[in-house]
Amino acid sequence: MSRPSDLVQGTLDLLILKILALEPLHGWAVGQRLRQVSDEVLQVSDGSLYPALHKLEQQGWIKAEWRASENNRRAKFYTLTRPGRRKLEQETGDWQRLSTAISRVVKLREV
Amino acid sequence: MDVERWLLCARLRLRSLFHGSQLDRDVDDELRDHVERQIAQLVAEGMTPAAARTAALRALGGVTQQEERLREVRGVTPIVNLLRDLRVATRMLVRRPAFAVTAIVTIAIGIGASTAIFAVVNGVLLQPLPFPEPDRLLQMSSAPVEHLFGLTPGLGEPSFLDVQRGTRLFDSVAMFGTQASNLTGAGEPARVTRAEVTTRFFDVLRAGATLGRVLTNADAASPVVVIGERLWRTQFAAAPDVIGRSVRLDGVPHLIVGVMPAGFSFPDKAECWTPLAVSSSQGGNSFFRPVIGRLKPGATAAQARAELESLTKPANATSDNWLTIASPLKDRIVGDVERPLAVLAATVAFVLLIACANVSNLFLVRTAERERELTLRAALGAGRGRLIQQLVAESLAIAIPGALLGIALAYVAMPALIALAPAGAIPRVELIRIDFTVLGVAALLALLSALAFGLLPALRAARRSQALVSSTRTVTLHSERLHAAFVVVEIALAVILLTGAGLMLKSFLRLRTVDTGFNATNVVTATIDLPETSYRTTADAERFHHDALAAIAALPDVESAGVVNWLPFGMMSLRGDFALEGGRTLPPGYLVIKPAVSADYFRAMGIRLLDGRAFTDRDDDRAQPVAIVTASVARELWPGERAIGQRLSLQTPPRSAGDWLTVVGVVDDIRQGGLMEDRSRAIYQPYQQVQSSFFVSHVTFVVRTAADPARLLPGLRDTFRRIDPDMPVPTLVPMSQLVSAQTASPAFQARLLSIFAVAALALTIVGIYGVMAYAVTRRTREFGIRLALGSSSRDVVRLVVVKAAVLALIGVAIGVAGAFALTRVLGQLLFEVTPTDPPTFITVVVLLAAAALTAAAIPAWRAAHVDPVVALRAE
Repeated sequence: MSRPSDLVQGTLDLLILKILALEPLHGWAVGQRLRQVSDEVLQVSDGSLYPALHKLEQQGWIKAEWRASENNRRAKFYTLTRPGRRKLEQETGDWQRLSTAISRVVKLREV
Repeated sequence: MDVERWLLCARLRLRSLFHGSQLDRDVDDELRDHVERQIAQLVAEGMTPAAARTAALRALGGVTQQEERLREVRGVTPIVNLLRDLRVATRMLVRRPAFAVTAIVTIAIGIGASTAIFAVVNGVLLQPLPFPEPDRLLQMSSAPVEHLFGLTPGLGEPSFLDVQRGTRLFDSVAMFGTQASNLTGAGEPARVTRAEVTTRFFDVLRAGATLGRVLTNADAASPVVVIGERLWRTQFAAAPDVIGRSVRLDGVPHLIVGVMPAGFSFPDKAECWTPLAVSSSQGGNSFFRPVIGRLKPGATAAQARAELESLTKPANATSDNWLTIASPLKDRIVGDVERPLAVLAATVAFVLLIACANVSNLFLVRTAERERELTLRAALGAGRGRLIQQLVAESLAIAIPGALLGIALAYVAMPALIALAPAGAIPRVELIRIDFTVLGVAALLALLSALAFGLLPALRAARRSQALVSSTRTVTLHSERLHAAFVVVEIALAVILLTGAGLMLKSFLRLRTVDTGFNATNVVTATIDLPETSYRTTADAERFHHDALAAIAALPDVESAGVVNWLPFGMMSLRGDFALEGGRTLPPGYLVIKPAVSADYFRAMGIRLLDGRAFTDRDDDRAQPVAIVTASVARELWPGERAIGQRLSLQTPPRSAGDWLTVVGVVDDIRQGGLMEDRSRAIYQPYQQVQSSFFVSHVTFVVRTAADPARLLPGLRDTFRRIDPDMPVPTLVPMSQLVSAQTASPAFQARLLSIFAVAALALTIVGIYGVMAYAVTRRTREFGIRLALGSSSRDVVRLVVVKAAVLALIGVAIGVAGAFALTRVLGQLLFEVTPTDPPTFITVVVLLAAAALTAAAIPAWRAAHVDPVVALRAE
């Protein structure tokens, strides 16, 4: 079997946006959440997580700020910006259209 | 991209750029936080702390690598890299001072020259006129093609009135003229430039007074005057109550009604303005003066010209013999310098191009020497773009100091340049300065030249280095063709510049040896205007002339003294037609100047008498009216006959028998208008027989002395002061100075062009030498082998010299073709030299060939003296 994660890599941005839409999180927590929600199927390495986060920040979809986390440790929290929220809606729509289309193709019976 | 996001991004970019180290620390903190959390988690899952740390770090792919990736994400790496490249490049240049200094100085010369000349162009040509909506200001001209009145465009009085009455396209029009006037009754008597203007003059320009008012229609015939700010300061000590005071202009009291703001001096550096009454008389003589107008919004110059033509062109005139012009007013002020400046600008652009070609060659050599280093970088993973960027950074490291040095050069050179220029040769000189526009252009030039001389070598080196990475052997760099191309371009540009400069120089030398028809050596001129108030009749004026001439003749060393009303090379000359006896008609458009002179004028001026006699003191108003014609008039009107005894009339048509003048002598033609103008036909009259005081109140005394003219000046001043103490002392000018003033501008242009052309030649020689020297160095081994195998050193010298000669030949050929095409633009600036003057072209070709071979000589000598043993052991 090929690696299903390949397909998903391109949608990493979408996943991060979706996760951050629920609540502001720091980088490590985003990684944890990614693993949880995708039932460990999607292998997002820590190595590609931070570049993805920083890229989203540079593009203005999310913003970062230093906040106190549990037991007074400082951590860098990422929050969705307003443009980011619009972007998420649009990407979600796109993704749904695409995945519907793909699952239709996949379900076609071979003749 | 929506605004909100754009703002977010912009803030982040700025932070990345200026707070890079802070961000690096942030990243560090963030990653450390991540690793700690991960370790905690793994330990909680049962790992040992050490194993947990290793696993956490491995998952991240290494902290340093991670940090570098994140830095790239921040997107400012190119800029940070560029700054770092600049630092590295500067360090490299410091280690190679000879290369750096040569390149920087070369670029500084190019940019300095361009900046200085652009500052002049910007101030003189590009700055708008200091009037509101200057684009709507036009000057008008309507005159026979065979231009009667020199080169100044204008209208005759009746035409002006027709335009004033009939125009639909102009808001307002005004006629004006300037003259030197004696100002008395306020401070010391002074000679001032006075503009006579019709009353709408200030409306046309939309200029207002700072004190009092400008002229209005009610002033048309009143003796009122508006004075300039400078006059207000010098003659009235800037008194605020100057309005209402009276001054005398040429003896006539004028009421001061206004003071103009500082800087207002149109036309021709006028210092005061009086109303001009335009005569509507249709017949007879009328004045021809400059006319300006303000177009109505939306009207174009072309429409204005058409209207002007319909209002002023005589019914029998055709487009062949009549010229109507409506051109921007700016042309009146800068028209004369537009072309010389354009030529100069093109010249410095060429010098800059040559400088760039030179530095580009230096860079090619440098990158060739650094092939190993560049290849190593490519091998280590530096991309093509990255290599190019580094090399371009090096060219910037040359261009930036080069530009700074060049701007400093321009700062020093520009005042010197302006000081070198003959007085009055550059209009609007006060607007010339190095301002932000000029600095901006200099910066742009620096950037462009950095790209021009850096990019080609960089592209080349990057391509080669990457190619070399994949090959294993040493490859010799074949940049020869590129070197050759640069040298050829340089030679071609130098040929064009030298040809242009040579033509200008030759034209100037021609101008200096022009035979004016008179002898200016040891002649002093004194021009005076007799005020109408104290010299009412021609007899009054003639008495003054007579007394002055007698007193001057008695001065020591004076050989002869005469009077003329229109001095050759003077400010004014009038031309007109005349009538011949017996109903003979003149050839169409046949005009002469009609000077009135005293008996000894021809002797004082050194004008040759060819036939008959000169005037004498007995040719007065009681004697038979006589005239002297010039050789061309005699030849053209009475071919095969003797001119002496022929009769003509300067009045057309003659009104009485007394208007008929008998020709008593023939003199040589002289150049009345100036060195560049053709010899003028003239009909001279004795000034005692002239009937209108207009023709004798403005006169010039011409005094020939046996000694140094300078020693005569005090005596002359005293003489005039003694005869009329109320008159301002006339301006005394040696005639030779009037003549040399005419060669001053061409001399200046020729000198400037020569300086730049010689600079170009020097740069080209350096360029040829550099390329030949490099070629020899690179082929040392080859020459060694040749010599070892029995080639004579002469063969080796021939190899090098032939190569240089081929380059020179191609360059010269292209240059001659280019010069042939381009020197045409010099046509109007050249005097008696065609733009394709063969001797100039040949001289330049020989000069450049010699220069190219000289530049190749030293490398050739070195090639011939290669020691085969040393050469073969090298590598």
